[in-house]
Amino acid sequence: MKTICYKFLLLGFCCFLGANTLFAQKSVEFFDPETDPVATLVNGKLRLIVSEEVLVRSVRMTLARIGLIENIDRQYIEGHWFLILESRHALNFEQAVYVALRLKPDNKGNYYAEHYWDACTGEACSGCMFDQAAQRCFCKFDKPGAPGENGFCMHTVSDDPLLKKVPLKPD
Amino acid sequence: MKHLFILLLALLCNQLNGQTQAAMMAGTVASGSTGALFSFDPQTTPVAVKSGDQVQLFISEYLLTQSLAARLGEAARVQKLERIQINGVHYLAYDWLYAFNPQKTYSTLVPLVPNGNYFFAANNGTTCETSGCDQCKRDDCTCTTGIGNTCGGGSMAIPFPLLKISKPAE
Repeated sequence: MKTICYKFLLLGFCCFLGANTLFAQKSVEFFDPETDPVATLVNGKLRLIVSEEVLVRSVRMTLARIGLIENIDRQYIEGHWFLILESRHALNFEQAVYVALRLKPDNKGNYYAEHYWDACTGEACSGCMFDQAAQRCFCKFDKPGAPGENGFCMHTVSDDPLLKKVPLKPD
Repeated sequence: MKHLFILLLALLCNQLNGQTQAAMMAGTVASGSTGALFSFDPQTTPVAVKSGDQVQLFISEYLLTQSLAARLGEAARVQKLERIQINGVHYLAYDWLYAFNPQKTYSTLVPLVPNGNYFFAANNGTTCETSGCDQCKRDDCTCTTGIGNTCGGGSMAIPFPLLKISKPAE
């Protein structure tokens, strides 16, 4: 009788352990750019609803060399909201990297990250940046140059997802 | 021996329970996706985190603006939030106005108190009225341009500038 009792107790504990582990796994929350908005409109102002810390980790999953992200801002350009990331290249601190990620609204005023984004960077310019319309990528300290020369900035366009799914809490 | 075995199992269960609770806490610390609860308690949750030489906001701009707006009242409209550093101290700097009197603009500074790698919002903030001043030095409310030498009458203390926010996403 005693042995059966112990066996039941053991079985009970095993079930409890299993349920506990499952629950713990489910309670870890993620930012998933495919389903979660990045920003929302509040009284006509666009507010980021994802923290800087989470956005930086999410971008780093795609652009490992984006380095130190110094600023995250947003700009309204020709009818679209863009998330603007300013950083310094991970392997060359002198090299500025500008990334403009287009945001897509839904009918509730939430804005989601689109897959379409532009980057502006150049090895021989410490201040590559977009113009006001985010259409021209130029070097603000030098005259325009050919590839390999001072003043050359490269405009890259991609439709690969820039933001990746990451846990809300850092490791 | 059997009793010892059961005791060990019980201790293990207790430990796992603790981990589950910690994981649940981590979820609420969140910056807040729509799947997560929009919850921020300035008394227990850090506002920013130090990552290398950079300080990054750990809480979303949405929650931080809602948290101040809750303190200032329904008519307050936060126009801008930025993180600034003055004399080595990090601050949350808010520009805001009241909807019923948009001509008067205000600026509130909330110091960030470091604790290890994290920064918590201080329990005291200062507010300046910035109307009529192009460049208001927000730490001492002096106007560097414009008429007069104070931004609308000097600074005003605002205790507990950020309130706890705990409501589901709309």
